Amino acid sequence: MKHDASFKGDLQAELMRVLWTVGPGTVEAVRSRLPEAQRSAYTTVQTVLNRLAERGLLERERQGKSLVYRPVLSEAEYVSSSIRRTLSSASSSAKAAALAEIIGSLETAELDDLRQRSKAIEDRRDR
Amino acid sequence: MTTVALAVGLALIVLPHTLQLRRVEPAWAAALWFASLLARAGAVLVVIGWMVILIPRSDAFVAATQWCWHAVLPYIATHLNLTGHGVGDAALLLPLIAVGISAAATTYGVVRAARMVRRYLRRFSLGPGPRGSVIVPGREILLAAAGIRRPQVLVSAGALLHLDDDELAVGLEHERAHIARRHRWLLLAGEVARGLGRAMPGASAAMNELRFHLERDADHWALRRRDDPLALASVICKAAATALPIGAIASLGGANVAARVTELMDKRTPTPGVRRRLAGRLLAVGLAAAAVGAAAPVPGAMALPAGTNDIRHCPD
Repeated sequence: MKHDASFKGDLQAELMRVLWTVGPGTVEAVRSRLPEAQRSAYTTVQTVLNRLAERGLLERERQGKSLVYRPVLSEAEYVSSSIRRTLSSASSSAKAAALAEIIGSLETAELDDLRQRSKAIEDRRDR
Repeated sequence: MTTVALAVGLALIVLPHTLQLRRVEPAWAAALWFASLLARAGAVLVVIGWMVILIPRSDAFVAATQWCWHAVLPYIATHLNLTGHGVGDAALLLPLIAVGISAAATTYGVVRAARMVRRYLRRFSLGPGPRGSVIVPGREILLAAAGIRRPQVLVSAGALLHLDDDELAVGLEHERAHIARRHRWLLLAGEVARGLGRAMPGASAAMNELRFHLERDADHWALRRRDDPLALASVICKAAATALPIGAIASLGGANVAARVTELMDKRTPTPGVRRRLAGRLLAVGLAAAAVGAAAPVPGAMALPAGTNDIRHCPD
């Protein structure tokens, strides 16, 4: 179950990439553009597209009998990290008071440590 | 009474640094560190209050104010309008002005950052996300409670794309906890207290500890709603893994995130009893009252008759 959720995380990213490349499309249109190795069942692709729509990343529009999925954000918006740029001139204490992030400020050594822990957590969650 | 207040203030400043507060319920620990910051601010105000009273009585001050500067430095003193009275007034006001500027600069910094976030959301918000959140651009995993007056949960496109359902749900609960528990007001008050008490050693460390325990409090609140500590630990690690080098800022509280992950991995959902929670709140109120009490001598000192601040003027 957990493995499935993580697999869908990868599939989510792949489906968004297809939609950014070819533009809005139906489930079948998106599925046909997936690489052969990652081409999942129609219902799996439909489930993941619906999940992305529920999360607010896609809009659904009915065209005839089928639903067309359209990305809410462009690929350029996805790759930008505008919030950090916007707040770059604020002091770190002011930033921390105005923006309570889930990770906050980190030292580089701690980043490496957390990346290592991530694997251990994944293993325990898969059990 | 003053001795008791000073003892309480000193205990509040020193004790949190010596106790193992990372093993304590986060609300208690946050209350202690917040009280410690208030006590520092109070102590600085007390010291300034006493300086205003004691400096005018000191020999050095009397000598400086009675010194006829225009007789000793005829050209410079006249040109700069340097008088003993001016030096005396400055000596009394400078510490107060310095502390006032420090507190004002801190408050301005926080308000400015909050305004930046508001402007950012007006410009870049991509629309509503899950559970009342707002989607913002960016491939890094960002989950944040932003804003002071009307706080919102921000979720980046990267978080929506790379987190599974359990991770996203518990991560959003964590940020909702910051809003529901009104952590922003404690952070704001803590920052102002740090600005006032900056001259006291350990003020920044106390602020980092307050932030850390508020994060732990949000973790615990989230886990009471979604009992999945590993999912929360996983979000924290994934967010760290996608953090850009520019976002990695060295800080005194640098070991805090790893400590949170360790706590989440080692422990299951904490369920404090009603009595413990009540005791925690009572302690928080008591400590805040004690910290205010420690600062109480200041207004009293300020209210002393004007004659006690005896600045003697030199004859013209």
